[in-house]
Amino acid sequence: MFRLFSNRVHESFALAAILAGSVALHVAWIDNLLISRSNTMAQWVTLNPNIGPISGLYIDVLGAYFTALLIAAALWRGRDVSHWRDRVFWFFIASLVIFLLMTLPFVYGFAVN
Amino acid sequence: MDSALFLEFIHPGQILFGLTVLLFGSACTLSLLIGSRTRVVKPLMGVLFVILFLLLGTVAIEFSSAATPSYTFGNFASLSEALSTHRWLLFQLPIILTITSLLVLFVYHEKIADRQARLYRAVVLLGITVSFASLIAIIFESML
Repeated sequence: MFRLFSNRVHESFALAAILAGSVALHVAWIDNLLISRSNTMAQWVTLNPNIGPISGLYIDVLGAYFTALLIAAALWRGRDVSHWRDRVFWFFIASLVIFLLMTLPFVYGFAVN
Repeated sequence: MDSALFLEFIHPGQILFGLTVLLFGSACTLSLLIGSRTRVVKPLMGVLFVILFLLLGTVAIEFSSAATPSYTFGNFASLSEALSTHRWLLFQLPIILTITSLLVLFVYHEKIADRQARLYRAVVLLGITVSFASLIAIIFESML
C-alpha cells in the first residue's frame, strides 16, 4: 500500500515551479523597465551603491520566484492540475520570448522625443 | 608560474563562468537524452546542481568586484559598456531556468520519460538550451 503512495508524482509542484519561473521572468523585465525609466525606482532598488540597481533587481526576481512558487504550490497542493498543464506551458514560452525582447537595450530604452 | 601573477590575468569569476559554460554544454547533451534513456536523469540533476552553485558563485564574485557598471543609463563610452546592462539582465535567465528545470526533475525523476510528462520534458530541454544560448550570447557581447 505504501508503495502506491511513494510512486505518486506531485505534478502540482512541478507546474508551480514552471509558473514561478514565468512570473519571475515577467518581474525581471518589468523591474528593468521601471529602473531605466524612473530614477526613484532605480534608487529604491539600489541595495549596494557599488553594484547599482542590479543588486535589488536580482533580489526582487528571486523573491518573486519563491513567493510565486509557494503560493502556487499551496493552492494546487494535492489537486489534479492536468487541465492547467498546457496553459502554464504556453505562459512559460510567452514569458521567455517577452523577457528576451524586453531586455534588449534598444527596446526598453526606446522613447519618442 | 606564480599563482599571484596567474590571478592577475585570469579573474576567478571568469573561471567559474567558463566552467558553467562547459557544464551547460554537457547538460544540453544529457537533456536531449532524457526522453529515451532514463539513466541520464540523475547525472543531469547532479550537473544542474553544480551549475546552479557555479552561477551563484559567479554572481557573488562579480558583485564583490563589480568590474562593469550594472546600469549605464545611456552614459557609455563603448559598445561593450552599452551592452553591460544587457549582460547583467541576461545572466538572470540561466539562474531562473536552472532552478525550474531542477525542481521539475526532482518531481519527475525517471518518470520524465513517460508520455504524459511530454510538456515537462520540453520545459527542461528548453530551459537548458535557452540558458546555454544566453551564456554564449554573454560571451559574444563581452568580446565586442
